[in-house]
Amino acid sequence: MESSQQHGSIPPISRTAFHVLVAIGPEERHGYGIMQEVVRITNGATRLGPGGVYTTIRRLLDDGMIEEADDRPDDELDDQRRRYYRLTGLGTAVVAAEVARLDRLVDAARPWAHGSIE
Amino acid sequence: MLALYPTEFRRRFGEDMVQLFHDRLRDARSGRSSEGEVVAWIALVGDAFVHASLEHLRRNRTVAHSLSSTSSITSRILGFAGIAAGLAILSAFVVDLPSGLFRDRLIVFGIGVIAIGIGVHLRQASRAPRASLASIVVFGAVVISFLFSVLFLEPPNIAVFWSGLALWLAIATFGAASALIGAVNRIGGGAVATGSLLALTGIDRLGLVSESAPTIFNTLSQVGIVVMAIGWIVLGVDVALRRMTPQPAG
Repeated sequence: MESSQQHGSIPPISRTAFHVLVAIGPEERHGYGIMQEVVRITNGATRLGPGGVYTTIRRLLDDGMIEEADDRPDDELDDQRRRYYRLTGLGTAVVAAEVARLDRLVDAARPWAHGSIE
Repeated sequence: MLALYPTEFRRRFGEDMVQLFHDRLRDARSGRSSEGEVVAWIALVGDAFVHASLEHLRRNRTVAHSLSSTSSITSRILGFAGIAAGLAILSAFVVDLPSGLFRDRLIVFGIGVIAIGIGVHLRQASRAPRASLASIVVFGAVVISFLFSVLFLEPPNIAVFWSGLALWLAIATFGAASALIGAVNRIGGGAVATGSLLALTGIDRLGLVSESAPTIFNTLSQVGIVVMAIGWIVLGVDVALRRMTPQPAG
């Protein structure tokens, strides 16, 4: 786990922004791919619409957390009309900071919450 | 539904959003998604209304707004000069200022509106560089010539009339241009434009107002000045406190 000091200067981000960053992950994804991946990683609990996806993408682009990818994946899988996005170094650092934050929360809750769920 | 979003956002992501909209409906129709078509429609309409409204409210905000949200010192100085310009105009309606302060008030106003002109130009230059530059150059020249005519020419002088007329028209054009370009608060730009056009009717030589037998234009021109002053204050706050939106790469 990263130390809290390392990520101390990175403020928490919204849940939707975190979902989108995690959905992109180490891949390059277009809006529809991001939407599908968010459904998958949240087990269907979160389903973003075009507005949710692209207003978040707009803000992540403006913040420098993601960037448009120039390279395209396999031609057969690619749709030239779509724009692909990937994480930047800052985006990866923000995800790492958020993961560390959530880790600490989970660690604090696990001793008593885990048993009560079971 | 795309029309609900801010123009700049629509221009940037409109096609992608339409594509995603169709993708999601196609999934719902084909059964690839767990939601039915009706549910998908309801969700998509709700998504458009909610996110379009939010995007209008926070179109210059970013996810980690606190990471880079401070406006520059230059923007703050320009913005506060504009707020001072608006307050200098409004002060005449609130307190009975000594006539000796007229020149000072005029200078504060002139410097303030030029400062706002520069601040607005810095924001909108990336969207409409030529229009913005032309607008600020003409605007600055008109304001300076107006100040010169009022401060240094003895009334009655026809040059004061023409420079005054040019000033109100230049302010109206500037306000309308900034409202249309949309890089700063449109309400502020609109108020400046509308207010100056109303204020223009108060120029004596146009014959629309009269001290002995006040007309509707006596009131309208005063209302116009107040509206314009509020517009300058709104633009000043916007320039001083709101961060600039980085433009997308490429």
